[in-house]
Amino acid sequence: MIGNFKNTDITAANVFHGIRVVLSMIEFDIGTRIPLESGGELEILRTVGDGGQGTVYKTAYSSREYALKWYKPEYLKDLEDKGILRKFRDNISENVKNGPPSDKFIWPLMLTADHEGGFGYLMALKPDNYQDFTDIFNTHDKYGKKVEFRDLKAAVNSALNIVEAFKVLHRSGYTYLDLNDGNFFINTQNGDVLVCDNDNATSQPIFNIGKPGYMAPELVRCDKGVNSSALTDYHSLAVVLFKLLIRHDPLMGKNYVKSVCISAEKERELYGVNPVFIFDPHDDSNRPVFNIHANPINLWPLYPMYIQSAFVRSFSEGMKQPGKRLTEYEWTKVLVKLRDEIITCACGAGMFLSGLDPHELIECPHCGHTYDYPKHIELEDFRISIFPGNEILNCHIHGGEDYKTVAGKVVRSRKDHARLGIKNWSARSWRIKYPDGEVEVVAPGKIAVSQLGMEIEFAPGVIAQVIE
Amino acid sequence: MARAINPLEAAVEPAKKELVIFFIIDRSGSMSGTKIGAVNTAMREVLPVLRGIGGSDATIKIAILGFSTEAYWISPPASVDEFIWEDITAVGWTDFGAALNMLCEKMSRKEFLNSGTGYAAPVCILMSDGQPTDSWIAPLELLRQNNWFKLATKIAIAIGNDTDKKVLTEFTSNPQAVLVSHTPEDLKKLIKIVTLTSSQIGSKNTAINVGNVFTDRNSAAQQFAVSAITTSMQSDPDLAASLYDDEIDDDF
Ligand SMILES: [Zn+2]
Repeated sequence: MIGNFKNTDITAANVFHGIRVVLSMIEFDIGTRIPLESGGELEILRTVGDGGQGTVYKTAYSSREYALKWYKPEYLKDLEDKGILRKFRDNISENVKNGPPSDKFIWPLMLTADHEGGFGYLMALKPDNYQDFTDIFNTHDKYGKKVEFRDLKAAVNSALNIVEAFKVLHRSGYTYLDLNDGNFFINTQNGDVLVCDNDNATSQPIFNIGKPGYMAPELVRCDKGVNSSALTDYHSLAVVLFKLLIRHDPLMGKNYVKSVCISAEKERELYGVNPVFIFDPHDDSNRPVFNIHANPINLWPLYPMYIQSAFVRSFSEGMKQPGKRLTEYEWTKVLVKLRDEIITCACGAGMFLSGLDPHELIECPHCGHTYDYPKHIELEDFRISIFPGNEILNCHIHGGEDYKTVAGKVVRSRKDHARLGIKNWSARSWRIKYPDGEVEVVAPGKIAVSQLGMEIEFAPGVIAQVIE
Repeated sequence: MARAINPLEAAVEPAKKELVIFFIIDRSGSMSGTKIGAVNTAMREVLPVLRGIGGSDATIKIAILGFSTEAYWISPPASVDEFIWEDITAVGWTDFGAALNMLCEKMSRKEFLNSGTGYAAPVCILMSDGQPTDSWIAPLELLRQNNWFKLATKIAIAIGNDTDKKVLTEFTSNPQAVLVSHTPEDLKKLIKIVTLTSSQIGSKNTAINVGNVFTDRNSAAQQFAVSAITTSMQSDPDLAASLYDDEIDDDF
């Protein structure tokens, strides 16, 4: 028997830890004490959520608060029947021992001892200012309250941060089983990302588990010799990013709608045996359906070509050839490019420059304010709009993946609003060469006034030019 | 002048498949009093908890078919987000056959299941305390030909020992999917467990494969739901007893 049956009426629980809320019929009473494997006891404070694998409680242990994920008896029974329960538990134990790959992971901290035939693990509580990815995707939470990013930059930042989390996980030798929208908490104000349910992170994938819509087709088909790996995770990563940016399932098109009843068998066909990307350039059999799939029809054309190409490569070629799927490094590069295209109006609204005519004024869709089409800083691989608030990042200057360290920022002159400058946020001086041949050194903290045709040497040999 | 764009502002709630849970509720005279009272209480309490269960995978809709002297749709499929339960009363005969006919008629692409976004396999939850008073064998035969019904997860809740469990077993095609309640408390718990478990399993398919053996929950959704429900029931002393003992006295 798992827990004491709590014969109370339904209470509205909060959405927690990506697990959808149901009132568990079998839940621990408040105040129940459960021993931990390492000694000591936790105390149940309240139920916060419930989902497929387990129930999450708010608990107290040695005068601090933690979340407890307690596995459902039927989930454990399922694992036991398949002969993998022991390994499953050992894996969590191993994760606890090794510690989190970074502070972006809500990592298992302690296992409980076996208690009434079940067990669970402790982890940090979800901070209040983070939202479920599921709610962002749905555009609202389960109470109907609108959930959206503060601005476009926060949205693209969250995409970059999801990629970063995968990268860190993979470099630490893990793959992530059962990856889906329930595994991410996102701060919609700035795009910060936390990854939860890390009992599913493993360095020895002994079994594959997941929702078919997120699993690589070779895993859905259950191909011989194929296990979860970085390559299968790359598919899941592309699905998550597609859902974040295009707000749709990349394989949900005509074929899905035609199936009418999506039985398990159908699902296996749509996501495993015959998976067709809805925007596959060589196969139009599964296009989104007018009047049904509004998001892909409306949103896809608004993204620049390099974003579309990245998804096409992942879902068209990469569907059959896992090696073609974009790696984290490649995603970081295209997403930084996308971020560079965002300009943020003084009213706070973010918008993409791509697709706009450089000869026309730009009108903010929110406040109607107009702007000149900005000039650009052109580097070897990147073009950064010279628009107030835009940033020059370490990866722009040095290559690599550091999109977090800001090396320079576009600022507006307080005296003359038409004058823009680039402030040196880095630790090294920049050399500027103006079109008239004048050379200037811009020390850290100083500002270079932007001028068409000028050259900026950000680092020895890294010379950018200001162009139209 | 060019109007700049923010793609995410153009985003609307994504297209999702629908999961319809059909409740087929006996509201004949013998149900009046504590039985129908327990049904009303349980339904009023469990429906709000279904909000959000579909997550990013499915929109959950509820349809209510009542039967007594004749049958009628108390509610066609409606989103659980807006669903408000209105108490039902119990009076009259037990025209089960009439209910089966109506269910069969409406489980159709031309009728209730006409959304273009696609459907999860439906869930049918039958609650009854008695013996049918009309002819039901032919209607059930017909219903069994219905492709939606074939794919559906079918669970029946027998309310008390007087229920003709054979009839319910015919409906579910699986004796394990017929669960018996003996007290109003049991009945309330059962309705909640059955509703939550079957909607969770119905809206999200999870595949677990070990050593190239593919299994998932949905391909055996009914079996999986029954197994999950009985695992839940075993944790409750009262419900566990009714799983194993047919001779418990009713307390309705
Ligand atoms: Zn504006």
